[in-house]
Amino acid sequence: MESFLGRLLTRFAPRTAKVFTTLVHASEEEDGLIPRVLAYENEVRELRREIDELRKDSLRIAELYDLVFRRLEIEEHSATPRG
Amino acid sequence: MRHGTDAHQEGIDHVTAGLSADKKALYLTPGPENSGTVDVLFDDHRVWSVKAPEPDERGRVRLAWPRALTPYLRGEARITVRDSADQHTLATGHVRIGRSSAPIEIKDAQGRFLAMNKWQRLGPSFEGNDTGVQQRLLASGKRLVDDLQDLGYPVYIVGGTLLGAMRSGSMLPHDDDMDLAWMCDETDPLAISLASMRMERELVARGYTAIRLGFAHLQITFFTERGETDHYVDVFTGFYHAGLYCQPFALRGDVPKDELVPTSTVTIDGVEFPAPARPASWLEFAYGPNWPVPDPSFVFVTERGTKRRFENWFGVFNRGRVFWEKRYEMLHERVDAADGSADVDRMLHLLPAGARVLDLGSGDGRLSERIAAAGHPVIAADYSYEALRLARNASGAGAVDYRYLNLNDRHALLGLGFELVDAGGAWWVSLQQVLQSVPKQGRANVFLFLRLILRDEAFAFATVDTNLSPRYERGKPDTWHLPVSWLERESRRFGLEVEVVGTGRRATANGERETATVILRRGAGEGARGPEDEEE
Repeated sequence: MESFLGRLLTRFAPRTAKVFTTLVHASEEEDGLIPRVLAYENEVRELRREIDELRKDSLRIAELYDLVFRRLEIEEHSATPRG
Repeated sequence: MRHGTDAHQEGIDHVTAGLSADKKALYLTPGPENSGTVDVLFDDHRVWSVKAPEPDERGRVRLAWPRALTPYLRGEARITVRDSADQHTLATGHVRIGRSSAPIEIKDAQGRFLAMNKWQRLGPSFEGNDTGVQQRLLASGKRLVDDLQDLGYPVYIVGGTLLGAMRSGSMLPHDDDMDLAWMCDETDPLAISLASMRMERELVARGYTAIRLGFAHLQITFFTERGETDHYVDVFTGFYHAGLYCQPFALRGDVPKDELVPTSTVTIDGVEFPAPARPASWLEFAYGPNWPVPDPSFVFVTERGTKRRFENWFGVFNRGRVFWEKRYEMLHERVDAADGSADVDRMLHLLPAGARVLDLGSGDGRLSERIAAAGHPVIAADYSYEALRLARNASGAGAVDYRYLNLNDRHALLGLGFELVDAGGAWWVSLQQVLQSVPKQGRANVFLFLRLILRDEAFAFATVDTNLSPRYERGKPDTWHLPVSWLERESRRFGLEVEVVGTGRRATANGERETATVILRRGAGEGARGPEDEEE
């Protein structure tokens, strides 16, 4: 049955059949390939998250920097005696 | 659905295609000979431009209506399809969509014709507005450019404004605003944000209304005498980072600096404006080498990595804002309604006499004034200028201090926090139907703010919709929800404690909503715990 389906697939969808064959052989030969790809994917996702956090920190610092220095400027102006 | 080709009735003898429509799509049989861009007009007003797909096996071309347009498509209209390039009419006919025989009117509350824009949204454009807005925009833009140059900012026109200037020496008919950029010499995102903040303060000091959409993007808004939004000018910060020209929120790529500054001069309808040193370089960078050929169906697509970079560096403050602007823009004056009054009355019973109240997300101000009428000093804040217009126009003089405030903008929220702490004493906070309608980052800003300003026995009193709306749509914040468990989890990170004081139901245009009324208090802990974007 399996062989019949394989022949059918090769006849009607040769490219899909080739992909399936490659994948089957790849998983037989490279037993750890899929777990490794998944681990890399997770690592990329984690690195992307870390980069996002660092970029957000830049914005957070800019906001606080501006608020604090504006505040100091206002205090300095209000402390300056009018003459 | 009714359809037909009535070219002979109209004396148009070169129409070759039949046309029909239903609520999902417009059909042309046969389709246009070449798959270029076509304009779709309703009663002679261009509403949409789209690249015609290949015809199906029957020779029919199907143009699926854009999502933003579908709510308007009930009734009758005369639809015309023409070739965008040469304006040649390809098909025209009267159609009825649905059962209504009322005319289909694709207009906003001010009667302006709407058209799909390059962001796939429906908005007013110059071609559908004969009130002289284009001349007013040119005058406002010129004044703004003069002021920015006077303040030392190397500013130049970009976007659709530059495209129109270079193609025809005028504004693009399907555009709706003016686009400016300025070259910032800073390369560090922190310094660039600070430069943009400084620009905002300087423009406000000169009398402009600046809406901050991100720390590299300001929108300078101009109003009618009645206080309605009339037109606006976008001001983008341009800068170089890692050798690439960046112009948030959409553009990042290779443009030599000497092709942008020092600026050149172009003329728009007889008015001189500064432009990039070599305008064609900017246009090719943004729109590709075919920029000289009109393509009203052009859609801006920003690369994902660029979007992430800009959003994290400079923030995104516009989410949901346009929805509320459009909602309130439809009203010329405030409509009396009792919605939310019972929740506010419950809060009033808990407030000490004369307690000062901050009403966040105050909308049309009905509830803010109810609080003020009970003898409380009230500051009411909203990020919709149209809502503030309704509130100020309906309000008794000085009853409530109405202010513009965007909860997505942490800098602005913390600035208000400084002011309240500076004023001394306790402030109570009202959040009626607000927290579920701001993004998670906006709620985090509110919780941080509450942690900083709630003092002694003061609390925040909030009512939220807790169940998923049967008509949920991502682009409609009034269909969003916030279960109490999410509220507890998110606010706990900022050291806040949640007490549920009531639950209920309310009938809305988006179906029946379950509600929860809660009191948020500052907990005994030290403050914020855990990273801000945990569990995004």
